[in-house]
Amino acid sequence: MLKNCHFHRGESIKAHRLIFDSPETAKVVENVRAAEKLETVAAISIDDNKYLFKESGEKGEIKKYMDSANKKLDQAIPAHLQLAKAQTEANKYTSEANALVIRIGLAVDALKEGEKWQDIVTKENLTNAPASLVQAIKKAKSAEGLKQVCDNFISDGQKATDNLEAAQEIDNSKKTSLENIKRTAEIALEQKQKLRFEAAKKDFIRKKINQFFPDDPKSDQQKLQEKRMLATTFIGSALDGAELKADKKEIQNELESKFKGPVEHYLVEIVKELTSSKEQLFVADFPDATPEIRAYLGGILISMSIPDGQGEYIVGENTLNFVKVAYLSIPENKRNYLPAVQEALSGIRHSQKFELKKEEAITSKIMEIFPDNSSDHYLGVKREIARQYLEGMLSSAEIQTTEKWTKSELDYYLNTVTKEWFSEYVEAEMNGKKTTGWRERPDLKAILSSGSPAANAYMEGLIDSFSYTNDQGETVLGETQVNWIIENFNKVPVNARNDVNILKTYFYNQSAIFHMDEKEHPEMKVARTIFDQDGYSPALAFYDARMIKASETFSEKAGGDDALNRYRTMLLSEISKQDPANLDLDKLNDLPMPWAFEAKAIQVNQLPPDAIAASELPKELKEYAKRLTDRTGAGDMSIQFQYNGHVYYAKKPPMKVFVVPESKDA
Amino acid sequence: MENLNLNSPFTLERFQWLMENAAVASYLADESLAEIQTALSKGDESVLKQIYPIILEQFVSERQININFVLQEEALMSDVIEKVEKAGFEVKTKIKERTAKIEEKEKLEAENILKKL
Repeated sequence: MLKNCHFHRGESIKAHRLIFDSPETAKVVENVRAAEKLETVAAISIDDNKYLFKESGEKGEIKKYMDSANKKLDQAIPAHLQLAKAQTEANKYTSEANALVIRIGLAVDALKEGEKWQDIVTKENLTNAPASLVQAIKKAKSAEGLKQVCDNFISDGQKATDNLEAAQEIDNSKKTSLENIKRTAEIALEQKQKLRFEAAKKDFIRKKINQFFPDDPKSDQQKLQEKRMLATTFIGSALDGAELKADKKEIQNELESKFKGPVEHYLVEIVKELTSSKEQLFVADFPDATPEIRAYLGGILISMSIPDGQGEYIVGENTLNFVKVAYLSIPENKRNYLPAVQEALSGIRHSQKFELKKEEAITSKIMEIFPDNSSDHYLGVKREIARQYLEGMLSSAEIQTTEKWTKSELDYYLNTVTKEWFSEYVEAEMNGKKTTGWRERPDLKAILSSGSPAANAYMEGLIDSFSYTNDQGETVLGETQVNWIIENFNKVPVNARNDVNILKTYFYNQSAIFHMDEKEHPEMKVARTIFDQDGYSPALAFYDARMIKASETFSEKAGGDDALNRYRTMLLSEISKQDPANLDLDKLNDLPMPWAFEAKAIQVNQLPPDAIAASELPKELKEYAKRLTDRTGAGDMSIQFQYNGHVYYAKKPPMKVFVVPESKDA
Repeated sequence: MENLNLNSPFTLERFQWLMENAAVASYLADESLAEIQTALSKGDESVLKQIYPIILEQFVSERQININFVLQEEALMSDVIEKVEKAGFEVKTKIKERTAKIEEKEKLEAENILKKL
């Protein structure tokens, strides 16, 4: 460890003392001491972290650990800045020392040639040299002795710089580690909060079931159990839309507020209907669904119903259609399998609520910029163009699960649309004139010239939503996203490009790839804060793409969640080491793909006897296996990795890939 | 406590252990906690059996998060330690190289002086 490294001042320490008496030297020495102290602190802190993390991790007190990491991070930042300052000063001093030594060398030569000391001092600009140094020069008996003094002088300064550099390296590592710990802890904490919320929900449902369907030894027990089971599904479904809360009291209030109203009102009646021999509830809408599935769908519909003003509640036509469409999107053979139905419909309430808020925000923006004006004959057209543009722009908005975040998400986009600019834009669009900027780009012009004004406005809004402000304060487009738009726009049939509804459906569905649901993937929120606080960065795009692959790869496997979490941590850790503004894509592409993440080295002689050389393997897989073996330096070992359910063994050199039949899966 | 899993059947001892170790007070409603206390004092297992699967599942899942967290943290920490050791090694090497350079220079100068003598 570095803390064992010390200065080697050697035998010439006495001569150094003369030079090191100066105030400048004292500063360097002080910096070195500070650096030595910092490296010791860093080493201790790492040990501390290990201890604290083990202790708190085992006890499950992740919050405590995260708070501690946060506190340490706060403390580390001033030390970090101080160290950087010390480093600059040390560098400056070393370079000044070098210049001084050159002048001393010249002075020594002049002394040897018999020049007067006073003349030399002026000639070589030694007036400000430390007094002790001047004294040493005067006392020096030989030129060699003086040169030795100079060499040591430089050497000491350089050692100081080296030590500072090393200390800074440690300090940076410490800071990165603390930041990583904080992020990992945040993810773990969020997962725990989710679990606790779910457990609280189950307990809440249990209490309601006991309250509404109490034990009655006289009643038909089988019937009672059936009622309880259907009621559990119904309430669980109705409470799916509850917002995640961390505080116990808030959790209870949230659940109670979602239960009160239509859910409580219809609970007994619906369960009675569903268990009746003549039951017809929701049969017309979901003809083949079992009572359990109808209890689940009913929970969704009832929780989205609205009061009719006469003490009852009604389900809107749109809501019913929304649920129907989502239900019919489930493969027919899975429509009576509750987990499949839950998966297809769990986010529906949030998305519908979000869509409504989006609609409200768009209307309000349009009314703000294009208010009622009877003398404007084109007002309707202008509003329509404006609506399409804003819809396109808000296609990029991500579904949020709380009102606060919904507002913040919509404001993020809509605040960029100013009255002056937007009025001009709509006017220009209406007259078929394009404004300047990216709209002049040849690759994007095609998108804007093949459709109707409404279709163009929608695509322009969508493209504009991918713009962001760079470090120089300029508004630029996210190129990854723009390329994605171009690529996908080219896939839309030419004769459908002027149909805004087709474009909307097409890009809405496609954008799911760009916006993994944060409800399902809470770590996305954390990832967003790591890679780019202002929008969708290339680093995040890379992360998304890999995580989508990882979800597909690990979802069906036993222990898949663990593998997914470990893969996620590795990705977050590796990507966050990069400068977001200057990504090293080669390095990123070299990160293990999910199917090879668990690749492990095995001895070549352990290869299964029926392993066969695969001459027909896809080129990418061969190249990937090569990169894998290169990186791990497998040598005479073999790397084992999985792909599409097969186990592969890659060995170098020469690079060979063996395939083992599926039945031999590890 | 033995290694609990989702299939661990209900026992009073297990239930009590979970009550003490599974942070249930942070999410169960006060009303439920009071219900549990009453059931425990009366020895009424029917209520406890209702709540047991909820707190058992929560505990097992949360423990898995802790294990994942510990594993992830260990991976991160070993990365840091490796970096620190590398930095230490680099500075040691630099110092060694510089010392050798100075020694070599001194040796040459001494040889020159000897030659002159």
